Parts: sequence; structure tokens; C-alpha cells
Amino acid sequence: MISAIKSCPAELLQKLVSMGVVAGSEVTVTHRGFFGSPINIHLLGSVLSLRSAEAAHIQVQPL
Amino acid sequence: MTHSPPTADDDCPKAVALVGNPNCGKTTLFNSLTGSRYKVANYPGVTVERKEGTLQLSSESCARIVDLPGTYALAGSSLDEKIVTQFLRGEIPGNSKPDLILAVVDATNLERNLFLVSELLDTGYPIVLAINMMDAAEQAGIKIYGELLSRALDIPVVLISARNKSGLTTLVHEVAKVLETPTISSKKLAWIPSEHSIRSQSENFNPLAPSADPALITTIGSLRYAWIRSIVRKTTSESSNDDVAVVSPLDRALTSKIWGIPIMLGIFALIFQAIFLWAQLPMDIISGVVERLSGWITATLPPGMLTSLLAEGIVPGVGNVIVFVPQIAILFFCIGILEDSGYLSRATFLLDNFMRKVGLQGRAFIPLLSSFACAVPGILSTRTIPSRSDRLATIMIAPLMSCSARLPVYAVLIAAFIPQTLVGGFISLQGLVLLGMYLLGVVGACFVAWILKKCLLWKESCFYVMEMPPLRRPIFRVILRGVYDSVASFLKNASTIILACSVVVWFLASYPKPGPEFQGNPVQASFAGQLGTAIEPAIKPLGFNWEIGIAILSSFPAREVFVTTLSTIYNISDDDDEYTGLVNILRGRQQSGEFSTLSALSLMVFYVFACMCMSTLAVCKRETGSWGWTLGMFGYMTALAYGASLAVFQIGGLFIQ
Repeated sequence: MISAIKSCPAELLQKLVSMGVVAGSEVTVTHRGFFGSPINIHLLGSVLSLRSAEAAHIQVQPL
Repeated sequence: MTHSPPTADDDCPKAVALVGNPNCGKTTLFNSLTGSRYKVANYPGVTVERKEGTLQLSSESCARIVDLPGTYALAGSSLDEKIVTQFLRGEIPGNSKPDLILAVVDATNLERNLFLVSELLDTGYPIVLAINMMDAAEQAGIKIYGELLSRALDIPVVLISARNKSGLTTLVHEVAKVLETPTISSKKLAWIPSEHSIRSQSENFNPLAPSADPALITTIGSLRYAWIRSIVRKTTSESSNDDVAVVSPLDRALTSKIWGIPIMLGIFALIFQAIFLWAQLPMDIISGVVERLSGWITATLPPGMLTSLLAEGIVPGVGNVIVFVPQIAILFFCIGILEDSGYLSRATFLLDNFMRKVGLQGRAFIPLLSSFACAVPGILSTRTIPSRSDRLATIMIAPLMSCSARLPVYAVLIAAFIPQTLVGGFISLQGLVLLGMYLLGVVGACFVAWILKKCLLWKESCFYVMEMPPLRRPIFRVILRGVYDSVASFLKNASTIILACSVVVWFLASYPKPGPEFQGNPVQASFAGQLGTAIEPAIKPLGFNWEIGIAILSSFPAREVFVTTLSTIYNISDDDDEYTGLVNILRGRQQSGEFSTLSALSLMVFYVFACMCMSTLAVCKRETGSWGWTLGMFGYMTALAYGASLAVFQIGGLFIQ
């Protein structure tokens, strides 16, 4: 579960929020590329692909 | 229907805006509603062009319907996402505010899709909500109660499937009803709990002018999702036992760390094979027809200026372009399948790491791949790149990929000058040189992209967050329509310029006619010949003579003209009347010492980098909208070509002597 999104530029934050990345959403990591990037996460019925730099803003806690 | 559909603005005064997330089937719905068919794809952001159609509401009334780019929120950051917000604010010149928003959501992904709808509710526009992909939702065991959802959002809700064209009549009926008597949802700002502290500032919340305050973005986002979740819980039911992420085995293999790249290389190797092998027969047929036509004109029409213009100027000039239609059609067919099935998003995912090293995004990969066939469709497909600076950089390097028009140039020079020896017993030296030319272009492109991103282009906050659409079976009717559109626009764009240029080149190479006392090559006396002789000092350091000079100049409209021009000039200048193949002539020149292998290598390197293509420049002008970038492209490529060629000939000369 996402606990918080930290120190994130407004534009990226807006994008993440609009795609369902908000505190309280459940996420599952479905895939990691070489060196951990890009990273695919599954949430709200769709798969998002992020770079590790963007994913680093997302804090999670186990359910 | 007995009435002919009215099309003029006066007959359809009302405008409907089609708004929805990427991949929600919005474009398919647009096609079904308007009867026109356009491109539909899984690839994010493919709908960048403005598309307007006529929506027949009843036998006598209609409305204009505009397909807006897919967006996740009204505060989108990419070029096409900003268009949606500007359009709804009525800020796009020539477009008034719409009378109604037709919001489209994906039934299988309702929560995320409703985020945009909750923003739309706050804008105060009349809204009709279409829940698309109901067939897929039913298969996944999702039940949506349209009545309940309609009451919760206080807007008409229609369950549809644009693919199967079900529910569309009801949808059109609802749209007509709301256009007749516009009603605005009472659920504006309903997502703010009554006791919440930000309620006091709610007058300032305008989703069309979003806040940039990170704290506010987070709060608003969380509240909207909480409200949506409560509605979704009340209006839908899911029979599937768990909603754990399921990745299909096929998808797992396609994006696998170990197999992903090899599979991708295999797929693209297959496409390259298809482009070169399958296109061979139709290309041979087309060039045969062009040759026959040219011969027939010379034989039938009385000799004169018009006949010469047709047979030696227009027919071969335009024919040279049509020859590439089979390759372009095959390329677009293959890319269409990859795009529509959702594979291109996976290729982008796999390549993002590598592309980032040279300062580009994974998305630049598709345009660059297309450019191996032809830079024109390559540059057109950069529209899918959201960041403007990345898009410009990709446009600028696309022509460095060795396109199919360079192949005839490489092929004839390699056949004439590179011996048919085997390296290490099994690798052909000729093949290696050809591969080397392709690689040289790629290396040059990486270098230029890196410089552009480092020094020239402005810094743009660029991030990579992309939805990975599900793998779907592609719709062939849609792909074939896309192929037709691409070929038609290629022919229209390129042939007008090529036609003009072939007339000019023909004129310059034919006039003035040499006097009867003139001894030697008649071409040398023409304007083109004089021009060739004039520029000879400039190209001598590269190892070229005046004949090569003319061939290079004449191939400015299209590279493959080089081979034709050279063949013509050499055949006219040689004493014997018999037609000799260009490869044999060149070998003869090599033996007589007029043209060395080093000159041939230098010439090939020149063609790797030189921007000898009118169509590319025309498309670059159209897509960048700037003469600066267009001339910049021509300038840097010419400089690079001259420099690289000079280096090859001069440095190579040191080793040989």
C-alpha cells in the first residue's frame, strides 16, 4: 500500500496522482528491468511503467 | 437513411468534445460514431491531430464531434494533454467552447478513469458518460450498474462497447437529449467532505487552472480518489475472487530481462527481412512499369522537348518515389500490428534504459526504427513523443538512419569497388562494409543527439511514467486503413516536391544543348555540367570529380537519383553506343585510375550523413513548423557529410601512399 509520495516536483506529482498513485492505493511490483529500472507497477487495474528515479518518490508499506 | 448528412457548420451548430484516458477506446468510439475510420492504437498519445467528424443525432439534426487527445487529468503536462485543457477553456483559436462533453471511460479500469470525470464535473459543462469496453469487463466478471452510477454522478450514463458497436444508439440518444436541454450535474466539488478544511477555499478550485502546490495536489488527489472509491463500491460488483496483478505468460516473456531483448531483436529482424524481401517483387514490377512507360513515351510521341521532359524527367523522377511505396506499406503494416497489439509499449519499456544514455526517451525508438525504411514516416511518428525537446532531437537525427533510398547508392558502389572476399572464411567483406555504413549512421545519430540534448535544446522536466496497455488482438481493418492513410499522405507529400524537382533537374541537365562543333560529353556543356565543373574544386579534396558532383547535386531531391544520373552521364560520355551497366563502367574507371576505391568509400560515407532528400526537409518543416530547424538539419548534415568524407579520403590517402 502506498503510504506517501515524498519531495516530488509538481508536474510529476500531478501525473502520478492522476494515474492513481495516491496514499492508500494498493500496488504490486510486476516487473523490474535491468539495474532496477524501468519498474512496472500494477495498481487500479492497470500497469504503470516508471523509472527508478520516479519510483523513488513513492513510499510504500506492506499490507 | 434517406437524408444526406449535413456537414457544414451552419447545419451542425452544436459541438461535442470527446474526452477520456488514453487506451479507453475513445478513438474507436469516435470512428463508430462518425462513420469515418482513423488510426486507433494501444500506443499512448497517438491521437495528436485534431479530428472532427459529424455526429448524426436524428434524421434532421446533427452535431460536430471533436476527438481530443487522451489524457489522465486536466493538469496534463505533455503537448497533447495541454490541448485538452486549452480546448475546454475555449483558448484554441478557431475552436469555440464545446456544448457538451462526452466522457469515455474504460469499464475494466473504472476507478482510475473516473478521476478525470470527477475533474470534468467541476468544470460545469453538461456531461454524458460512456462506459466503454463493457464486453471485456463482463469477461473479467465486473458488473457495473449504470442506473446507480448515473444517480451518484448526476449525469446520464450509457454502457457501451465501441468494438462491438453495442449501446451506441442509446448513447447518441442521450447526447441529443442533453444538447436539447443542457443540464449540469449537481455533483460539482462533491468530493470535498463537508467538514474538511479545504472546503473554505473551494471557490478557487478550477480544474482547468490547476494548482502547482504539491501539498494541495496530494490532498485533492486523495480526496477525489476516496470519493470515487466510495461511488465505485456502491455501483459495481466484482465476482473475481482476487484482484492480484496477473501478468500473462506471453507478456512475461516479452518483457523478460533475459528474453525480452532477444525476442525484440528477432521481431525487428523479421520486419527488416519483410521490408527488403517481400517488397522486392512489387518494387521490381513498379520500376519495370516506369521503365516501360518511359520507353513507350520515347517511342510513340514525336521527339521534342515535351517528350524528353516526360520520358527523362517526370516519369523516372516520380517513378523513383512510387518504387518505395511497397516498403512503406509493409513497414506501416508491421508497425500497425505492433502498435495495436500493445507490443510497442513493451519495446519502449525494454529500450528506455539505453535510449536515456544518449539523452533520448524509449519512445524515440519507433521513429528511429521507421527511419531505416524512410525518414518521412519516421519523422511523422515522432508525434507520439510528449516532450518537445526530445521530439525535436529525434526529428533531427532521424535522417541519419540509413534509409532505403541509400541502399541503391551503397549497393552499386560496393558491388563495383569492394572485392568479393570472405573475412575469416565466412563473413563477406561486401556485407561488412554495408553493415558498417548502417552502423556509422547510428553512431553519428547517438553523437548528434547527445550534443543536441547537452548544448542546444532547453532543459525540460522530463519524466517517464507510462501506462502499459494490455496485450490485445489487433483489428486488421483498422491497421489496413492506417496503411492506406500513410501511403496516401506519403505519395501526396513527396510526389509534389519530387515532381517539381525532376523537372528542374531534367532542364538543367539537358540545356543548353551543345553546339555541333562541341566534342566530348554533352552533359558537360549543360547548366548541370557547368555547375559540376564549378564545384569541382570544392569536392576534389573528398575524392570526387565533376561527374560525381553533378550526380550528388541531382540527387538532392532523392538520394537514389544519384545512381540514375551517374549511369546516364557515363553512358553518354562513353564512346561506344552499347549500354553498359554502371558497375562495369565504374570498374573500368577504377582500372584507368580515374576513380579509386578510397573515393568510393568516401562517397558512401558522404551519403551516410548528407541530407539529400527534399521530402525529409519538407516533412521536417511541416512537423517543426520552423525554417530554422529545417535549415539547421540540412546544414549540420551537410557539414558532417563533408567533414567525414574529407577525413576518410585524406586520412585514408596517408595510409595508401
